[in-house]
Amino acid sequence: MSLVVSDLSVRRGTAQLLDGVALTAAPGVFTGIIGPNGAGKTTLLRSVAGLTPSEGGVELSGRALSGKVARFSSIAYMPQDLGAVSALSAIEVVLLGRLRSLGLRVPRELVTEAEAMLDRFGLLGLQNRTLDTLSGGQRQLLHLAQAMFRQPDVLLLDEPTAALDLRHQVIVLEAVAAHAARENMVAVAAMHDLSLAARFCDQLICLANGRVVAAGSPESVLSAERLSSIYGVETEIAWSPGGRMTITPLRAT
Amino acid sequence: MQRSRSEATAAALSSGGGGYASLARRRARIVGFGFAALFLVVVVDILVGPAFLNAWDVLVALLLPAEHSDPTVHVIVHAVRLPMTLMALVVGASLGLAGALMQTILANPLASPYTLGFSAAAGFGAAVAILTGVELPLLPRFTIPLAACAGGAAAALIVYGVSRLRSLTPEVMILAGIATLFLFQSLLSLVQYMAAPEVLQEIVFWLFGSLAKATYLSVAIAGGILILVSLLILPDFWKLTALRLGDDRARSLGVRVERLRTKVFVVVVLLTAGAVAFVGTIGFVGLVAPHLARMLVGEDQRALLVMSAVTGAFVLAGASIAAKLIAPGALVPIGIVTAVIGVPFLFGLLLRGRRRYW
Repeated sequence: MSLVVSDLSVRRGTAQLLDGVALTAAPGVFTGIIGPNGAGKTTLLRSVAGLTPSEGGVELSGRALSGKVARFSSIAYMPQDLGAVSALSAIEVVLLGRLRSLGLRVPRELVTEAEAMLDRFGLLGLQNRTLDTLSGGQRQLLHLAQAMFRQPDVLLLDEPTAALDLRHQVIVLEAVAAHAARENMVAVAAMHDLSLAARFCDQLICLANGRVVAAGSPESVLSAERLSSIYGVETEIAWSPGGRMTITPLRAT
Repeated sequence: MQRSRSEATAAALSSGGGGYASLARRRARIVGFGFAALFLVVVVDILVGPAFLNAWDVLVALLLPAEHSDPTVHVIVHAVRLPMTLMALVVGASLGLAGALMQTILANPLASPYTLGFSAAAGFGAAVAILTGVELPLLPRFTIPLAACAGGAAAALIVYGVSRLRSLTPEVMILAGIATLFLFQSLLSLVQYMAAPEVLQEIVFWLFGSLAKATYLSVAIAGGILILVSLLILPDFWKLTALRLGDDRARSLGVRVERLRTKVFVVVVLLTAGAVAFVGTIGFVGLVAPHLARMLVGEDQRALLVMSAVTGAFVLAGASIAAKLIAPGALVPIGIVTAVIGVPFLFGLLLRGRRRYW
C-alpha cells in the first residue's frame, strides 16, 4: 500500500507553490517532510489529500487516486490548527471519523471502538467533555484519535506537535509511529522540529521552494551543510552514545 | 499505550456507566421534557384569550364534537384560537430550526433566518403588494404572502449569487447578506415613505408580525414546508455536525461542504418564507431558540435541530400567551412581544455562560 506521488505541481496565480514533487512513502514507515516556511509542506499535504487542486499523480499501491472521493476514503488529513471550538463532546469528535457509518442511531459496536480509541490516547475519562473545556494538547490528541479511528490507508499530519508541550509531542509522535507500524499505514508528517523528526521519522523529505531537494534517512538528509543552505542557519549535529542525533541551531547565516 | 488504564476502564464501560450511552439517554430525556413543556404551553395558549372563556368550556369545545359545547365557544376555539396556536407552533419550530441551521452553516452565533436579509426582503415584498393594492387573479388572499415569499427569494438569490461568484464561505455569505439586509431595509423605508397614512398603517401592522392572520390553510402550508424540509435534511445530520469542526476538517472527512451549504441555504429560505409569509416578521425566535437548545443538548445536530425546533415553538407559544395577557381583552402583535421577552433572555444567557464556545 505504498503512496506514490509523481510530478505534483501547484500554481496559484504566478506563484509556483509546488514544482514537480515526487515521493514514495512505504506502509508502516513514518515519513517526515521538512523545509523552511513557505517551502510547500502544507500545500503538498493538502494537494495529496485532495483539498488543494493540483496537477500530477497520486497513487496508492498502484491505484490512481484521481477523484476527491477516492482521496477522502483512503486518506486522513489533520490540519495544523486545532479546529473550531464548539460544544461537541470528545467521543462525538472521534465518532465523526466514521461519518459514513453514522445514522440516526449510532451502532453500539462503533461506540465501543471509539471508546477504545480514546482510551489508547488516555482520553477516555474526558469522553463526554466538550471541546471548549479541553487543553490544546488534549484537542490535538483527540483529532489524532479521530484520524486513526477512520482506519485510513494514509495519514497526513501538518505540524502535529506545533501546539504541544514536550510530553504531548512525544506521545503524539510515538502513537503515529506505532499505529503506522501496527496497521501497515502510510504516515506522513510535516515537521519543524528537526531533532524530533530525526528521532521519530524513518525517512525524511526536504522541500525548498516547492521542490524536493533531498530524500532519505534522517542521517543522510540532515547534514550541517544542507541545513545551512536550506534554512540559512549554522547548526551543530551531535550523536549520543546511544546513536541518537541531535541538532543544535547556532546562528543564522 | 496505557494498558493498565484500559483494563481499569473496561469494567466501567461494560457495565454501561458514564459513557456515550448515558450522554445519549440524557439528551433523549431533555428532548422528551422539551416536548412535554411544549405541550403544556400549547394547552395554556389555547385556554387563554381576549374572549375570557371558561377553561373547562374551552377544553370541552376543543375535545368533544360541536353539539356538546356552546356554539360561540366552539367557533372561537376552532376558528380563532386553534389556528393561532398551531401557527405559533409551526412558525416557532420553523424559525428555531432555520436559526440552528444558519448558525451551523455560517459558523456564527449571530446568524439567524433574518441575518441575511430574507425577512427585510419579505417585508419589502409584502409592503409593495399592500402599496400597489394588486391582487392575484385566482388567489387574492395569497397576494401578500406570495409577494413576501418573492421578496425573500430575491434576497436569497442575491446573497447566493454574489457569494457564488467569490466563494461560498461563511464570511462572504454574511457580508453579502448584511449588504442585502440594508438594501431591502432602505427599499422598505422608501415604500413606507411613499405610502398614504392608511396604507402605511397596514404595512406597519404587517411588519409587526401577528398570529391573528392564521388560518388552517396557512398552517397546513407552513407546516407542510416544515415537514418537507425536515425530511430533506434528515440524511445530513452528521454532516452538519462534522461542519462544526471547521470547513477543512469536515471536507477531509468526506463532507462536500459547498454542496451541503447550498442545500441548507435553500432549506432556510423555504422555512423562513413559509413562516414570514403568513405571520409577518416575527424576530428573535430564530436567534435565541438555537442558543437555548445548544445549552441543553449540545452540538450533535440530531438532538440540536430537533430541540431548536421544539424550543422555537415553545418560545413563540409562550410569547403568544404573553401577548394575550399583557393587555387583557386585546391582542398585542406577537412580533413586539417576542423581542421584549427574548432580549432579557439572551442577556441572561450571555452573562451566565462560562463556556468558550457559542
